Amino acid sequence: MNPPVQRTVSRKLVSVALLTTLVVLVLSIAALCAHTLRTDYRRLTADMRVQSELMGHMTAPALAFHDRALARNNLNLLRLRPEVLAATLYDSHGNVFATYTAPEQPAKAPVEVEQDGVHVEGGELVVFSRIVQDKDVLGTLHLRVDHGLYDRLAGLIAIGLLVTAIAMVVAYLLSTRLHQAVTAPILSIAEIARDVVERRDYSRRASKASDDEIGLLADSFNDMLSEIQKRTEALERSNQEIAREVGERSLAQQEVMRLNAELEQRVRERTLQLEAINEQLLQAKAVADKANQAKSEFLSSMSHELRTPLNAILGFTQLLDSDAVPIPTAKRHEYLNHILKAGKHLLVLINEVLDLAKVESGTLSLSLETVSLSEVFRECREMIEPTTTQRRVRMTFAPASGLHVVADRTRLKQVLLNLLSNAVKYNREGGAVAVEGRRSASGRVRVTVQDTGKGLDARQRALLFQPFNRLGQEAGPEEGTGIGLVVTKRLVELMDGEIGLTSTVDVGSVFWFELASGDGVSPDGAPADGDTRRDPSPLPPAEGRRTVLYVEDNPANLRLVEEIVALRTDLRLISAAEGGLGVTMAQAHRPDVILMDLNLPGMGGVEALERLCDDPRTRDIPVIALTASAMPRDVDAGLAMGFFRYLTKPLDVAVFLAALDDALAESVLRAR
Amino acid sequence: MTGSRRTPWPSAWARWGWVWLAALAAGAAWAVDDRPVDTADTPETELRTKAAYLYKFGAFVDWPAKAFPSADAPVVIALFEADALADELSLVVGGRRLQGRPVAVRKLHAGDPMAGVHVLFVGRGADPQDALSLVRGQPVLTVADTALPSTVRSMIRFQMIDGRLRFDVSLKAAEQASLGISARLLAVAHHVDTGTAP
Repeated sequence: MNPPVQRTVSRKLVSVALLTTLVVLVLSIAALCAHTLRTDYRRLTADMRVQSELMGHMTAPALAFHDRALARNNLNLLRLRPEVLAATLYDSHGNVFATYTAPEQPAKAPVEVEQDGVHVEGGELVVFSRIVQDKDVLGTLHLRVDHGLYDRLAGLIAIGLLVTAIAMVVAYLLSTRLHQAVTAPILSIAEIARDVVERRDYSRRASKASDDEIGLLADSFNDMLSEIQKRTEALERSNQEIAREVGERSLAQQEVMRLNAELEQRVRERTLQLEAINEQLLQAKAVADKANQAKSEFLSSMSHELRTPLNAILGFTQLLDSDAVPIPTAKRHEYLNHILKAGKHLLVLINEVLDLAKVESGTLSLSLETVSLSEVFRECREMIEPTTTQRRVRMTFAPASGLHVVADRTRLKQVLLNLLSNAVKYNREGGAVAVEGRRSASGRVRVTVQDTGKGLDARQRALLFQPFNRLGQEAGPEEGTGIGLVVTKRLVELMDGEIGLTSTVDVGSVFWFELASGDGVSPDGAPADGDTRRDPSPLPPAEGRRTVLYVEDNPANLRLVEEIVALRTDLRLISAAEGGLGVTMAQAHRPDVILMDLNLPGMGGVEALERLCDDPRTRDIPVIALTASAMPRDVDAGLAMGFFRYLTKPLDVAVFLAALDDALAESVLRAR
Repeated sequence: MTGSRRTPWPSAWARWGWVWLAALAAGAAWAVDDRPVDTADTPETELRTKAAYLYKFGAFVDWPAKAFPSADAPVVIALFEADALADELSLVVGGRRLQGRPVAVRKLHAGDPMAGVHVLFVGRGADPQDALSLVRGQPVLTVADTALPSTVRSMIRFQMIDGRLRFDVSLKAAEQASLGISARLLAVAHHVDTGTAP
């Protein structure tokens, strides 16, 4: 695309140069011609004027004296002026006086005499000059002169053409040579501009070769390139910035999408959790509902269970109390046996309910210690053996020597006894019970109780450890509360143990529980003390009759204690029905032991104890609390207040007597 | 547009105008062709020519300043014994001037004083010697008529040559009279006597 431009520019430059040259030349030559012709004309005119004047002066005498020959001779002098073609001398009347014609010039007819003057007629200069002497017009000289202006003009034009031609050729050669000086920088700039456009390389610069307009163009072009470069760089920077921002935004968007996905995932998980929780809640609610229902059933069952022994007690008591019919002694003993049995059953029932309440409320306190398993086996065997004998169930205890568990001794025995009593109670006639203790694979101690009963199916097993279920034994002959296994399970769990069973219908069940091993924890010392303490202690030596003060407002209870104390010949019982009276009697009689009911009209048992402790006379007397408040919290609080023992109603006679003996011994020690 | 035109290249219109003018002039010349032919002079013509010459001589002669009593004093042409010529001359010089001065014609006869005369023509019938002797030594151009004997020593002498009036000039006589005669007059003269004055 550029070569045509170059050619065009070159042609234009050459054309401009040539045209300029041509115009200058034409104008110059025209001006020169005009000047030359004008000068020639003036000079010729002046020359002819002088010539005609001279000739007139010369021919004046000839005219004056009418000498034609002289006039002709005079005119012939004009042959020395070849440009004078013809001369005619007129006399004062305008008649031709003499003529002259240049050689080889055709003679021309004379013309009318005109006023003085010079003018041009065609190629000739016509001169009229009057000859005057003393204001007399002697005649007129007429000259026809070849002014030669046309030849001159032609010559000038020819020279002009020649000069023009030469000048044009020279100008063409020069301009074709010189135009490169102009076009080369322009082409260089154009080349650079095309390069810049094609390669987008804005760092290129046009070289400045001169200080003229081309140089100015190069400067301007370079300035423009600099500006474009600056702007392009700014644009590219801006583009990069935008791209970077776009990248960041896309990253941020990905991050947001990722977070959204996480959030959705979390919401989904949380929803699943909530659904699971709801499910659990529903299950729990179902369980709770079932438990509630079971509890209601249990309450009615409990009512039944409580009424049954009460019915026996009340009925046989009424029979015994009846004076209408004489009762033989054998029959009386039978009645009393029924009453005692029913009472004991009631006690067991109430204890179990209390245990369950303690376990459920979390208030059961355990004192964990290292317990010898063989001792527990022995004690339980002694306790359960009468029943096994009665039921004709064979019981075998595998030797468990050297095994120790970390447990609460009393609760451990309760657990084992429960399992054993169940195994005996629900065994078949002539069945067997096998008890075994061994180390489990996990390093704990596992105790198993195997029976030969009817066994339990899967449904029964699932319901086994839930409270208030008696598993179809509700209508059975065996008495039960449906609480024992529940309490047992809770006790084991409280001792960080596990309980479970395997059972085969019509073959029997195996109940087991595991407890942490006590081997290596501590030497087996404390249980021995416990054993010693729980051994029936011999009665202290009687030194006359000891006095026991019983503060009690309930006559029946007072009567019971009176009967128990009456069994002891070394004791004498005094009583007070009210706290204040009790304190007064204590101060007066200074008994060896005080039995104190806590719920008393007027002054309560606790306040009475404080009075007794404040009085130095009664301060050393052991006070045993006898109360129906059997909650462990109450027991602890009572012991902390200073009661020597805290016994709960109904009284276990043996326990009561043991506590009474302890108190008597303590009284002796304090008296010393 | 006609006479005063000085442009080197007259237009075609101007050339055609000149052609027209030339034709007009040619026609006029043909209509009134009163050109004098170069023939022998008749007596009347001779008289008229003499009068004209007498007058025209004055143009080629330089008089000393003392010849004129005042700056505007007339050039007095006196004709001795030539009244007819004087009359003719009077017609010729009417209103004309010589060398800036008016021209006066004076008829002279024998015995008349010659004072104040600048040109003296001596006619045939007079005694030329008398008249000439009177003005000898004075700045007076003396002209002798034809047919006078050559002894009459005038400065200019008319001659009839081939029937035409010519004249001779004697420079010596003019010098003696302290008159300057123009060379141009000498060119016209038939014969010039340059020194051998009688």
